[in-house]
Amino acid sequence: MLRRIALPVIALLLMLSVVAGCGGAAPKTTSPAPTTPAADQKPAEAAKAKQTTYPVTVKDDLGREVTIPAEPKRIVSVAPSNTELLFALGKGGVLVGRSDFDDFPAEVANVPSIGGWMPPNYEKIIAAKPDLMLLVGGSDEARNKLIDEYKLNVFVLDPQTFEQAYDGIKRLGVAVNAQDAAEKLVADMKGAVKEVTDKVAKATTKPKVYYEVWDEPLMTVGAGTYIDDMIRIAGGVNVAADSKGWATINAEVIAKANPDIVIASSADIEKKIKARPTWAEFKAVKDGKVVAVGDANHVSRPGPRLVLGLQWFAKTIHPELFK
Amino acid sequence: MRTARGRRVILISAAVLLVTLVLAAGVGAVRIPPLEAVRILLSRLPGLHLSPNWEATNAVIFWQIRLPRVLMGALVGMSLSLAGGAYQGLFKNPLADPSILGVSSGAALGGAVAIAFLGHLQIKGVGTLPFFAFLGGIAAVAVVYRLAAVGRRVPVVGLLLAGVAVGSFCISLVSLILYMTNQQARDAIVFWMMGGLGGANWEKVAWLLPYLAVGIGVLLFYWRELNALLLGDESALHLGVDVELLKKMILVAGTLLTAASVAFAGTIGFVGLVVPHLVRFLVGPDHRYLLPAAGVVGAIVLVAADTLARSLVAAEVPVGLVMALLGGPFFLWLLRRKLQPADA
Amino acid sequence: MYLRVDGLTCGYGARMVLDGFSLALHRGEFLAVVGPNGCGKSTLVKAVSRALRPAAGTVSLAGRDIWQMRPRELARQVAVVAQETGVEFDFTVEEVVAMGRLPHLSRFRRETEADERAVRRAMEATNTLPLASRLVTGLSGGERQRVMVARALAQEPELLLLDEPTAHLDITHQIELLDLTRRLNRERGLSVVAVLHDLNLAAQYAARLLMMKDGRRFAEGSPTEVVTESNVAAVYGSRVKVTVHPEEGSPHVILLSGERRRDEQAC
Repeated sequence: MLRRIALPVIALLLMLSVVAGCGGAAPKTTSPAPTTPAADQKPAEAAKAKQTTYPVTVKDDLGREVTIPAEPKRIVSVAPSNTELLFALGKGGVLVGRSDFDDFPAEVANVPSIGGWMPPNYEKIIAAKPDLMLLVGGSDEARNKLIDEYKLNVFVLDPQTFEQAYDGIKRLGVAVNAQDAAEKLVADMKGAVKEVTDKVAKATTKPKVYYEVWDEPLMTVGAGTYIDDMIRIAGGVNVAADSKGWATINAEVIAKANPDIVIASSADIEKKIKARPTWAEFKAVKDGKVVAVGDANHVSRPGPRLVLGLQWFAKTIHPELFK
Repeated sequence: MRTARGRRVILISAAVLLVTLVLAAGVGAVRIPPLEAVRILLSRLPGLHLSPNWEATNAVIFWQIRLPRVLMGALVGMSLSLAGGAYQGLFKNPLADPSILGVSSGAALGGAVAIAFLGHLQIKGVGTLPFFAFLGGIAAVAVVYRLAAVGRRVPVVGLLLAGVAVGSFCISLVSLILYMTNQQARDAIVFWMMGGLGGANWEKVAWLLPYLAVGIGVLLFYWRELNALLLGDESALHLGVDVELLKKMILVAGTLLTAASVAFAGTIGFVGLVVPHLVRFLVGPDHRYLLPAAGVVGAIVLVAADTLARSLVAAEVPVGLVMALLGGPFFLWLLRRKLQPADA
Repeated sequence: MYLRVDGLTCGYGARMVLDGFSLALHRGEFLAVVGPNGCGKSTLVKAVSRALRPAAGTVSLAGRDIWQMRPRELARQVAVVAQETGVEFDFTVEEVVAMGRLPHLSRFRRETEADERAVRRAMEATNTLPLASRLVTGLSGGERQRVMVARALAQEPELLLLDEPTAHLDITHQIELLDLTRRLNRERGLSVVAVLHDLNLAAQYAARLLMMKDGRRFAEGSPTEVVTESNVAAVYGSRVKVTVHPEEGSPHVILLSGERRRDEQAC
């Protein structure tokens, strides 16, 4: 009687063990929790990349609800900041018009220029037949003309701080169907910022920094700018933190603050600051800590190069922590 | 007696100026207690040994930033008022002002060129901006003179017309530059043109002084001839005044004073128009008292306006703006009084 | 010979009003210059006062070419009272008269007693002392002219040039002004050259008359010699009758209507 039961039991046991072995691996591949971003997936899984379903309505930086009927295939950008960003999101291919001042990346030279922004060359813009225009702040008149008279679809993107940049990049990603690229870019930027923040946590000093944009009149940057963000993140104190945006400042205020480091917006300004007789007594001038910013484009355009700007500031403000 | 009154007004204004200077030196974006300011001031006197109980930065602010700025304000205010007063005599028009011959527009053009295109230049000592602004002002008046001169004479009507023409032309060129240049330069030009003493330092004061001295000297020198000029060109001639030479002297002095002022402080309106007008109301048209009084009062007015401008906020407010906001309505009020005299 | 004009060719732009004009004036003379508009009398005065530079010829004062002098030097000797000049500035009468001392003052010399006396005397002579602290802008035309004469007198000149000074004055003031001028001429020996548009006043007050036509001398001499019916007709082209002034004894011109002549011709 046992021999007759043994064979089916052993077969059942064998079957059970095989099933148990396969069942152990399955939960891993079908786990619902997403831990890796889509871009990391192998090409075989590219089909799972996040796509924007059109028509889509995205808010731009002026709070306008912009409806985009289909994926933009002909984008015109009027400022270097947005052009650079578009390329960084991998959408340089749909750029059909850019401004005279665009200079990065090198491929931009292959895209025809539609002139400037203030004032814009309407003829060239129309000739490029854009299905989406990327604008920055500035002339309301020009923007309204593009919308009302020429019936163009206009998206204003002009972030001025890191936080605004993260949010703006993501929205742009939705608008042009580059969500994954946008998320990756933002993650990379945040990662770089964290790297700096972590190192700066070990700093023992918090140097006072004055950034001079222009000399006559004295102009600096206050809260609500990339530079102000960078100074803060890099472990410094902006002497003009109480001002807002690009503001003029009284020489007395700077003298009172007596900054440890002075950063000039250009080599010319740097030379002028060093030659200023009134400032000879200032700490930064005496210590020789007056320097021109590495690359002005790294501190004004939202995009991957913002990180380079931040890293320059970190090296300048805390040279002992960043080699 | 008008002489006594004239003297009194000058003395009183001089006293007020002194007080204004002291008060102005004590006020600013950074608060320096008045007692401390006095101590800092006295510490420089030889023989007095005061132990420094003030912050080093306060001393720097006081000596390097505030004092030169206050002095420059006084000098510029004085120059513009004197130039205005003299031109009002030259044109026999109490509504003339220093910019009537296009010197401000020319200086604005020079300044705009310097800011927009010559940022990389470094003119030793005075700086690119004042240098070119000054040149621009002088050049503009030279052109006006050549246009207006008929042989050896310079008819006043010709000067006025040429001044308007050259002035407009210079301003249109400034607009062109604003159009062509980048945002930053544009902002800087516009701000500079609003007139400000923000960049004042001892070096600039030193540069300013000789021009001011010459201009002031010439004008005070010719006060009798200026009086005669008010009776009419021919009447002045009959009194033995070399009218053509006098006109040239006033032109040169007025131009030097105004060009130097604009070069270092941008275009500041109303001081050169309202102050002499007001002072004439107080002391009469006799230039012996009018010019010195106008100079002193002009200094007071500009220093007061600038003190207001720089103590309200941490930002740099252009003094020309303050002058326009205060001077404009005041001027309208003066005009109304003149056009609607209450009694004969 | 005090004032001498030799071969004066003078004008405006290309138009020469005077061509080779000559004139001689002795010290203490009272010469009136008359003639129709455009005859050159104002030009003559301007040339003598150095307001206009001649194209040719000389003007000399006490033997010295006036263009060789400094303007101040000339102003110490010659004073000019022109037609009413509007002054828009609030000078007091005293201040305006005091300006007459300008040629005598040097840059740094303050006004002295002598200057103040000259000013006071000038104002006494012109009866403008009561107006001393009044503003010039508040005076009547006649008062203003008197102030201008006072200013000229304050210069303490040797020669007084009057260029139609009575043009805008009413009758009383015209008489006043000329009475004053004559008195100064007689009592102080002030030489006077007066351009007058009124023939009668000229004849009444001046010792010598110069009648000009088209930039040239037409007649010169005593009033009786110059003011004749034929002269007037030739120079002014109008018919007049010349009588004798009841008090002064000078020739007096009575204007006759042009209409009657036409009627007479019609007859």
